[in-house]
Amino acid sequence: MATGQNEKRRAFLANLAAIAASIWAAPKLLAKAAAPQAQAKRHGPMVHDGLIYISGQGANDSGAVQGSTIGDHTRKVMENIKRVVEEGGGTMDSILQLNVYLATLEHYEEMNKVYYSYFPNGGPARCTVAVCGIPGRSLLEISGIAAVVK
Amino acid sequence: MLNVLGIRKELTSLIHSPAAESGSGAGPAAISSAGAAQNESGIRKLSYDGSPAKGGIAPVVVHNGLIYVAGQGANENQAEATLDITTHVQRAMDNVKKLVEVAGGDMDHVLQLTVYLASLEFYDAMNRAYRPYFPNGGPARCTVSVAGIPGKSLVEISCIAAVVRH
Repeated sequence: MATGQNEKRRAFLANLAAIAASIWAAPKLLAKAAAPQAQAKRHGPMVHDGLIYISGQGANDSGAVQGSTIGDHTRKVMENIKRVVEEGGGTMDSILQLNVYLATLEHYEEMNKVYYSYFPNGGPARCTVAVCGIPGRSLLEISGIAAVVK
Repeated sequence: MLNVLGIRKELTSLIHSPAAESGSGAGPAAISSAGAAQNESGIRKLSYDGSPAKGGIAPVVVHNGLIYVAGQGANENQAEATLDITTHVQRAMDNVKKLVEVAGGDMDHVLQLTVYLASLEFYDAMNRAYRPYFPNGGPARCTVSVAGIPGKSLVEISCIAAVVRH
């Protein structure tokens, strides 16, 4: 009889603790639920084990690009990459590998001119192809991996 | 009846949200000179012959035991272009092999590799030319055909390998 009551009491207190804890965490849960748009637009870095994984950066990701040439788009994308890498604790020199996806191979030379200017000390391993389509009306998309150095 | 364990798991993952990891405790923050860029933070950018690469594209980059090989096509170091998929795959893979080995790896330790083809019609011929490079089994591979590849190559191949010799 006493045991039964103790069990009931224990179960009740456990439930109470769980409710209290979930009330405590509710603001965070609500904040998470309220901000799915913000999270979807954010292309910040995934950092793990000393490596920064740079998600594909297009020219219109952080707001519409000013200008419509491949030079304008490349500059915008490289600035995005610089910001993401530095936010993750790396530098342009610590980028290890980049993948460049172009809307057309015709833009290859112009893209290179702007691209190389971001690596005065030598660039990372790069792979470039032209693809059938890129989301967000960008003329190029670049993703890659950088090392954390700070 | 409340699922106490379930709630506790959800709360743990919320409260311990992933924080940005700091690096492996490697060197100073600012990298200012070309020479420093090679050695600080343990990043080595190499050419086909193993000498330091200083150009806009490093053929291969080594960091923390991993080897990052830049996209290799068929016409990188060749004087004249041919249009045979087998030759193109072999040239690209020969370049991959050279770079992996110069960086301290070997073909058995290529981890992940991506093949970009000018056309899916080349898929079978590419596979036949590709297989002999991995007699002991090949890496995780992803293959797609694309709209265009620089340098008039029918194929572009990039990969990540592990360092096995220092």
